[in-house]
Amino acid sequence: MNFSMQNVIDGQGLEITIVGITIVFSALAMISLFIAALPRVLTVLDPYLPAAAHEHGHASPAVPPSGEDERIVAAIGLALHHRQQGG
Amino acid sequence: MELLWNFLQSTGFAQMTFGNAVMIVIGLVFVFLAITKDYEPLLLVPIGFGIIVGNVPYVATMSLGVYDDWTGPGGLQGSSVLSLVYFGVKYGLFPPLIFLGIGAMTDFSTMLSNPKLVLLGAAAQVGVFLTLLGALFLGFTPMQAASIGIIGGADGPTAIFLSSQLAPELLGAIAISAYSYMALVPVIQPPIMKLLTTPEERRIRMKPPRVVSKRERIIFPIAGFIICTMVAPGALTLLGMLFFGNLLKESGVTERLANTARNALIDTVTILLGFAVGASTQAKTFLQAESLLIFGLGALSFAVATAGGLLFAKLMNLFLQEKINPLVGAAGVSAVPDSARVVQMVGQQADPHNMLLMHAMAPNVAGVIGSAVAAGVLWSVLVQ
Repeated sequence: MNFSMQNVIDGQGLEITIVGITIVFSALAMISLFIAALPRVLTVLDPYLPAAAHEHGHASPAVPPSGEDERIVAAIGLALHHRQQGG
Repeated sequence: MELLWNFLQSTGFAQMTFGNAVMIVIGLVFVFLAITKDYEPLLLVPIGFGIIVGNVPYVATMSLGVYDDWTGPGGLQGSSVLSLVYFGVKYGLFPPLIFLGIGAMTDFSTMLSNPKLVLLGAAAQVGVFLTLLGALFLGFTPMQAASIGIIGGADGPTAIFLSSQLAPELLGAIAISAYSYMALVPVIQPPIMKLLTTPEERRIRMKPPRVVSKRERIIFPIAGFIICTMVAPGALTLLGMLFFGNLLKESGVTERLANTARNALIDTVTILLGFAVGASTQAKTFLQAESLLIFGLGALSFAVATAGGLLFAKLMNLFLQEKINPLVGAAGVSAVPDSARVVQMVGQQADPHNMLLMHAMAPNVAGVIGSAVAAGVLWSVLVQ
């Protein structure tokens, strides 16, 4: 192995470094700007591309809890609270 | 009697060299560490066992090793099974397929909710280029130096992809170095994080990330791919597969494809990739002084990448009203999700109620993109 700064110069190390870091930063900065602008762009596109049309979710529609369910949830919460209190 | 003598001469015992024995022991050590210490077992078990397989000696006329391929006198019929498996490494097929799986399991929503953290993923890539300079200084060729530098991207498939294209003779040492240091992220990063930040900075709390809509998560992989590859076309292969996998996941209409990509496909390719990399790591290329230099440079690249992300976060804080916890910058080292977990751990040492994990995931996944762009740039520049 030959340790020398001349190796860096001969290999165009500084040029590759400067160009490389510049390109990486440019690419990610452009992505960052795009992401920042995206919510506003989607607001403008809302009339043509409504959010609901793209929600392909397969989840069942939310069902409001019945009175019985609320009592069960409250009982579970109380039990957990007592357990955490060491009861 | 002569037949028996010839057979005995063809056994591994008769062919064994000191280098073969050392490499087999190294393979055994990797398997041991993976199983008993849980050091990146999904990679080190295949790599370690591959090293053992690739270093059992055999008679030269038998076509058994990874390098006994179709370019030999026997053509395709004379090529070994291991060489056919190694095809995926040699011609850069396996790493993009792994990126497909990574994209199908990555959630970019933390990055989408706080886009300025993307720049921390870019800043961490300084480790790649400063290590490249160090490798050049030590006498490596530019292609070798680039392959060594990409270790700082902390991305195994990217390191294997680039070194298979630019410096295949160093592939084994680079792959082992990259995966070893990825496993050592919890050891390497915390001292640097504490050295470069004050206790007050480590206690900075960040605003909870906003909710990201499904449309944003669908549009991002398409737009992100176009933006990155227009800037750096050399990253086409890796980023194309990464963002394609992510689109499979986020579109909501290709769930079985996404499921296959992030489970069966990535597991299959990981097995073949690790095994082939290990089998290609042979004594005559691995047991050199260069390998020690590569391990040293690998450690340096991780340290510089950590420092780069941290210091850039502190620089950004000079201009921001809502401060970033600079620890989050260390997660720009794209060892997903280990470096984000390290940020959470170090942050909680300063403030036990400070939840930094989701914030750290933003530069963590941005670093995956950044390291792929860096690899694309290096490939484009050095192959021309």
